[in-house]
Amino acid sequence: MNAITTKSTQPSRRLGVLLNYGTLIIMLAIYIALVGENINIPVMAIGIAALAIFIISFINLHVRTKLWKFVHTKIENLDEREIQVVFQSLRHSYSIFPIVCLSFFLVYELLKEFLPGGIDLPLMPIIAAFIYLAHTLPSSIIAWKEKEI
Amino acid sequence: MKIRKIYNRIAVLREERGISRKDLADKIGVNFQTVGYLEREEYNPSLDLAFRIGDYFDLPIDLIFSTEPLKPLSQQILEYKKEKGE
Repeated sequence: MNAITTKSTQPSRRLGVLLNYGTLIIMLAIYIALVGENINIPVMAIGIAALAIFIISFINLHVRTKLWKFVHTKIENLDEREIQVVFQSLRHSYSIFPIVCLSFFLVYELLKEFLPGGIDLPLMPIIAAFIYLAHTLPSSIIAWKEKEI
Repeated sequence: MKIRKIYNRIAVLREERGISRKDLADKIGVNFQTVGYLEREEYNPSLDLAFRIGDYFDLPIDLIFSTEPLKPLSQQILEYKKEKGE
């Protein structure tokens, strides 16, 4: 019964969540902006900085706190409070993830329809980002909500 | 359904017996952080866990847990003695 043991404060974890998803969005935006364009060194530098922050925040938020492992721990290795915490985080994830996906698809379709010249986004990195979101959302919710982990 | 807050004396009993959260957690089969949550009354234990805690402290669960804020043990003993006419 010792799934999460690393001490980290709630504000630092919340900052980690914001940085992790924020840099993911920045990287996606830069990728979309640069596809088929000439190499733009300042934008590339921002992209590389965002990638570095993304990796560091991922390690600090999901790996060092053992939250990622915690969410994927077998139920028989968790105590009753931990089962409740994991269950609630999964329940919230199931609510948040479809809203994020459907909102994105709605905005995308509206932009495609009404923007002069339309919009054509490379879908593979966006799908990858959604898969990443689906996979990390439960542990991010725990990191955001729990006072002590 | 609104869940009622369950008050408890786990922190007092644990201090009284001079055991760490980790030791108590090992004895009752939970993570030590869960003991912290229980002591801060931020988590209501299941009936099974409440009985395990009661068994460990060798006390009836109604002396450890309550739906009303708990009085200090000394005050409760005094009231009990008065009731008994001691």
